[in-house]
Amino acid sequence: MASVPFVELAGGKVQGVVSSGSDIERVYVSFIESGSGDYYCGTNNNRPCGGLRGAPCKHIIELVDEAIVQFGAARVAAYLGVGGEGQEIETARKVLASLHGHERKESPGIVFSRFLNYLRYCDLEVQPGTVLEMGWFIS
Amino acid sequence: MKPFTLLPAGVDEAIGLVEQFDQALLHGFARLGDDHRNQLESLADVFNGSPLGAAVAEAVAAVERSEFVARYFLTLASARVALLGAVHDALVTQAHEVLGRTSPTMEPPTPRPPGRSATTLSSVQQWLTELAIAGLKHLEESTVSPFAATLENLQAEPELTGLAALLTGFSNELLRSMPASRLPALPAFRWGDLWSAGMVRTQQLPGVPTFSDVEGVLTPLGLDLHAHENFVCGVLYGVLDNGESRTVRLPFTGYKVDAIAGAGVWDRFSPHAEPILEALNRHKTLRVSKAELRSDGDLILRTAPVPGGPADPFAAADRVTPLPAVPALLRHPVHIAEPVRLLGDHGLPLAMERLSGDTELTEEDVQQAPELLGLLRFDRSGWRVQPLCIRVKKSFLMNGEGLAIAWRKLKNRPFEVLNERAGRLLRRKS
Repeated sequence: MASVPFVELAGGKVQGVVSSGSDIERVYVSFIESGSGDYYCGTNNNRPCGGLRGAPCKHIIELVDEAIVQFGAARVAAYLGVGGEGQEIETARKVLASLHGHERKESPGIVFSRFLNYLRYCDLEVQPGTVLEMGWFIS
Repeated sequence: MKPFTLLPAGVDEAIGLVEQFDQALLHGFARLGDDHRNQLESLADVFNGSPLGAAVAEAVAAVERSEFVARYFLTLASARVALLGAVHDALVTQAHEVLGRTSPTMEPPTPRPPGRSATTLSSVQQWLTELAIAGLKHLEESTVSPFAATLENLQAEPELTGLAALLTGFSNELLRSMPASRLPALPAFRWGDLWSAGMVRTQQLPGVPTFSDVEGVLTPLGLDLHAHENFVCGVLYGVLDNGESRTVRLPFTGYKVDAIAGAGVWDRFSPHAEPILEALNRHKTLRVSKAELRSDGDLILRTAPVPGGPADPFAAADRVTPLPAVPALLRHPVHIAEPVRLLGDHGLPLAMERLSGDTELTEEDVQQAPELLGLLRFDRSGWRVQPLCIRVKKSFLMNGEGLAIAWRKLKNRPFEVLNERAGRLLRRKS
């Protein structure tokens, strides 16, 4: 969680927030798109990640790996539209090897605001008491 | 237990009718076939002569004319809920008869008018109506994701916690399954449950249970944990002794994010959680000094309890009382959770699937235990028992007793890590 605080499958992308491995101050916003395979990684004040040199950087690999941990390889592969019959896709590297996209700059604003919205859950208040409705959700 | 192998009359028929309705919901009311129409009409026939009779007949006739108005779907959802509510009542009566318990009579709290939540609730109704028209098996991400805005309003209103927790889980599940047409099999009954439970909760706010102040000694019976990505509800079942004895539920509820799971969620319940998890770990009772005992059986702590003397859950189980009945609108077999003490040869199937992945109780240990405490549960195939605690030699093993150690071992505090990372992003932006 410390290295990838946020990852989601949304809007046809695996996207999220990745911590810099070297600088505790630095946080990246990254995505890779289903179908096109287009990708980007940059700091949230719009500076591109130095690791993008014609291919997804290590942050994107970390992002997809964390997505696989959280959602399962099958779901991530299906969401990105790779793999299929008889093809085992269980690591981020294999996922990325099946996609042939290009670097496409996008503002980090949307992912960042989705991260903040996601964190909103940590502050929501509840009515004390057993929530019967959770009877349908076995952990 | 032999008396549990035979189900009360009408249970199978009622479940059969619900399953037929779910086929229409899956298929979509915009594309009903003749078989769906016949099934809806037989649903209406069953309600003929009951208080819901005229309304159900009107709703069935209307949707067959493609008159897709939210209130007709609300009526159909009510019919589905009523069928399963009746199943719930028959099953609870059976359980109480077999166990020799008397069902407590309790006036459920009166629901309140929606007030300022009326707009949000009607948006919920609208969304659920759209799902029914489209059909759950034809849903696309684009049909489900616009609900996010309504959901956010719902979550912001603590009075609607139950409905918000339900629909957050439902919409997560739908989004995860998109496009539904690609899935080999859809959980029709489950989605029918979630759809109809959501629908019937859009009419009013839940009533507020009354309470009395209590202090006493709580003997834990075991933890029952429920969670989806964004919500957790842990219930510690126990027997509270304060001159008299009764079963209580000690609830731990809160929103969370999906990355926080297992022991990490207990950060949410600090500081009350520490002594409770500690007592579970060390097999102690809990001394409760200030708490509300609510009319629904919940024990709401006002101060953190203190670990007391050695706990004997098996002895405490003899003082178990049935929990108060839930309000009629909320009754559903899934909510049946009758605490029981059973000998090893009870013969009921084990509901191991109801335990979380990190439970201390393995199926093998439970099967070999000479005695167990559990919750009597019902799923569509019949009665089952969800283990809470098993006897092991001269001691016992209780679900949840390992949490204290797992919690202490956590390398970082997940809620803090997330907030710190978000803080970095915010600062860099400015």
